[in-house]
Amino acid sequence: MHELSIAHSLLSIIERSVPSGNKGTVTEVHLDVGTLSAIELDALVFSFDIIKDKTISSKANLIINSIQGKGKCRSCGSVFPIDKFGEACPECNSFSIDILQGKELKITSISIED
Amino acid sequence: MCSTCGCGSDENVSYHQPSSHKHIHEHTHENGHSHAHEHSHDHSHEHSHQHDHHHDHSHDHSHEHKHEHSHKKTVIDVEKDILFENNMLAQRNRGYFAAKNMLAINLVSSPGSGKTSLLEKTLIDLKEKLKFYVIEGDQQTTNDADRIDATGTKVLQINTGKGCHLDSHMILHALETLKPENDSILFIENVGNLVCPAMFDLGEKERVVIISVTEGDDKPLKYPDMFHSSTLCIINKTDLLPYVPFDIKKARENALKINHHLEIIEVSCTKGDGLQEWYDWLNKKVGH
Repeated sequence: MHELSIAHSLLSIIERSVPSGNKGTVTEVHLDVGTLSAIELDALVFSFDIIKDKTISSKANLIINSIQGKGKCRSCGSVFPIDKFGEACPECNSFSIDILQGKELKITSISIED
Repeated sequence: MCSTCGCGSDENVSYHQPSSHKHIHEHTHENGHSHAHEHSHDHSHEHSHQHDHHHDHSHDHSHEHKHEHSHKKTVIDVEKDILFENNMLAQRNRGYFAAKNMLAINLVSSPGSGKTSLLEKTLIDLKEKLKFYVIEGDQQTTNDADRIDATGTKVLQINTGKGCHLDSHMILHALETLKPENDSILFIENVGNLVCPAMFDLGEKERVVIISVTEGDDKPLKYPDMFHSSTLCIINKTDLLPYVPFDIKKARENALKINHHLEIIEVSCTKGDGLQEWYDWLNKKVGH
């Protein structure tokens, strides 16, 4: 359940990103999460909702932009989408695959409303 | 509040050192780390969207449009890795290890694969040649640290309480107590868990995942993140191969499917088979 730790990190980043003196309410938290990032999205949302009470983020919703994993085959050079580790290259069936994208775990922006 | 990093830790984490029989320190704060260096890379751009249009026309009548929204929405660009705090402290640890010419190895596995036994054996066999330190991570008890202490190696136990993994912040504090000498090897035995520790960089140079033949040979496929992030895989308890349906060839194939860079060593910690290969690997990594 490392998603709980991740949710705690999220809260502390939000708190430090709101300019001092801003009395608004955080309503949206935008995240980029890659499909290979080892995060269970439901668990992350669940954890965040539990711990956000009585914080600056108590009314905030997570808006998650899922980033499709992408791999490049070392044998034939083809680039293709992957959803999980251990998938073979669709062109040549090699497992020598470098991950180009999909491990993102980033908070991109937050929205605050008065 | 800690003097080094200015943190107020969010975990109920405790540190114990068996040889000194002392309880090092404990954090029990509400939540939120506040590090002294936290804001140095904060790029916060504020966009204020207020729609005030003023149109001036050249002909004789002029009018103004003013759209006012009752809710002012401010979007703040954050663009920050959610684990940046852990990653930043991991880099700090990495710098510490580099400056002291230390080799830090993060040992990860499910509970019961033989991490502590392998460690005990390694420490006893190599302690004349290499200088070792150990950080033990478990939710509760100092049992593992007591076993390591019995080998004569300086060890610190971290009890994570409810926590399912070690993080770089705990390692930073453990190092303050352990005070390792230069040119040494630090083993960090993580909490027995093949899932959560995968995400948390501790600043280690090598990550060694251990599986045993009493587990399934499809373990790499079931827990790919850990195998993908490791540099060496040790397959332990090979002396039990005649008694279990573990296909070692398939296990190797599965591990390489997940991570084609992964090195694999087969050992029997109790019988000693393959241990020399593991010791050679260690010596190679410290440059001997």
